[in-house]
Amino acid sequence: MSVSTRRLQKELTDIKRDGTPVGIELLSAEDFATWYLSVEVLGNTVYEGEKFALKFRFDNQYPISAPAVQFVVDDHYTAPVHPHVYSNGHICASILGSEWSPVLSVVSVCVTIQSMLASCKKKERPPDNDRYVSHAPENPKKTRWDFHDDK
Amino acid sequence: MASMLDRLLASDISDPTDFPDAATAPGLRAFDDAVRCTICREFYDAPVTLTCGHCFCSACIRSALPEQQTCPTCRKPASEVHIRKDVAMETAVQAWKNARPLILRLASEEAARKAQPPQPPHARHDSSHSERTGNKRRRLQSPVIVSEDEVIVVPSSPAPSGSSISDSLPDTVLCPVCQKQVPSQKINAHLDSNCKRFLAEGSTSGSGPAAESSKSKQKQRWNQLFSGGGTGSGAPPRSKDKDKDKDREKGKGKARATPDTDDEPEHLPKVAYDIHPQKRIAEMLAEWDLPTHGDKAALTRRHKKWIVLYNANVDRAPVHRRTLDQLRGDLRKAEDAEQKTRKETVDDPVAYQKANKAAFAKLTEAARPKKAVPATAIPAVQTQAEDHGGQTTDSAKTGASLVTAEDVIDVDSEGS
Repeated sequence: MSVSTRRLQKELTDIKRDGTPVGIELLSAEDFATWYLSVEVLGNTVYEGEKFALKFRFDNQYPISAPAVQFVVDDHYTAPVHPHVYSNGHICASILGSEWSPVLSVVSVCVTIQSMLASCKKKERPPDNDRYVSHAPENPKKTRWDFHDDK
Repeated sequence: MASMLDRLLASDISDPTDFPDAATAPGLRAFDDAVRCTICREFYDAPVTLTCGHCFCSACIRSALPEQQTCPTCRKPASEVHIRKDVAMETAVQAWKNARPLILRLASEEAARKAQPPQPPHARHDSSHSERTGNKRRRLQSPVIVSEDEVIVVPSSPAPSGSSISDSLPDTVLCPVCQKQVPSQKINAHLDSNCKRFLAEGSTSGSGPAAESSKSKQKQRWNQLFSGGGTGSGAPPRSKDKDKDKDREKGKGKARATPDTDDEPEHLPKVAYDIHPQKRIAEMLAEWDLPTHGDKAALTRRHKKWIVLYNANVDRAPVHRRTLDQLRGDLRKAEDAEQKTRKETVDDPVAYQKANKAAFAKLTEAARPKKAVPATAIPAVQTQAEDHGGQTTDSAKTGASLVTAEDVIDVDSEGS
């Protein structure tokens, strides 16, 4: 069994036994290639009452290499309107790119994105949304991101 | 949903959550977590530390550092030269692995006891074997009380081993202390060994047999070491090694000057694969009797993995070190496992085509060139050229179709 599979099995065990943090739910994990989790921002925020779905895709180098994470955009779900989230669901977050660390996990990524949404004051798309979306690769990991206004 | 999860979790994996929560068994989960690598979440295998003090499996951190030269936990700058083995942690992990089954069982008994409404304490006193039951109070309160009849079977004096009398006794008895099945004529020796030895075969996960088998394995490994670096195919012949040593000696001439430290194997140096032709990389693999099939990328991947496995093995305590043959087996297993997740094999192409007819039709449709998409806008975020084979202008046109094509492939692999 590959390292990535064993690691994901352990994460799944933890989720099953201990549950997920408030506002985060496992929607489906039918194999060790793609998982879906839902994220809600609780409390008084601009996303009150909205529920989003995150799609995780893992390669066989996980957790050494980052998972490909994006918001699901389909009949049921949309991407949140946020300065770091493109309308196709791609997320501009450093921990999903150059700042990924193998000690991070699926749940910790969800928590980070949850807090990224929670700290948002104003709902708006990234300024280059339309240009990016029309040329974006299918997999957000293939985009070379420039992390500008962090920290 | 639950059944789906169970399917994925079918295989038995150990996890800190095996233990009851902190309210029932304070510190046990935390302890089990503390002796696990934060990268792979397994018990530390060849634990090493970085200058910041964070600990990882040698193989894990050696795989992670080439990606990013920082500590995965605290992000302080780190590099492979900072790696130091953590001998104390290795000892602790080994001890915990041996102790874990017993602790786990005691902890779950404790959890079961707490879950039950408190029972009125039993007034019975079984003085017949009082000196053995140090934790008597717990045993009496515990819901899994051994009936006294069973305990009484324990012979009061050691039966002479191999005597014909012992044959008439029941084969196994329940040990009054650890409550596992023990061959009846061995019960005293079992108790004398603190319930470690002489567990009956098939009794639940005893640490005894495991410890003994690991001991005999260690013996084997020592024998292999002493018989001149492995049997035949073990280590590469010394003469072959010499050529390589020339490369290795650069910058560490002094260390090599003292041949006394010969027993301690050295780490393999990193290789700049880009400057070597494919043939040279194949040679480097052949020096270690490793397979040399595949393209340059595959050879490079294999050699990189080998260096990680080899260097991690050097970081193990000598008693836990694996032989080169075992390491080759590890490499093969790792490659197989990665292959499995990389590609699915199609046994019957005709049946496969039939089964996926719709998907293929969709792919064909998606691959047809689309008109009417102006390729004028400048890409806002540059896409990596190598991923598209340099067709930056084409990606604008076929971007949409690529999406569907890849999606369909994903769906296929999930379905199998």
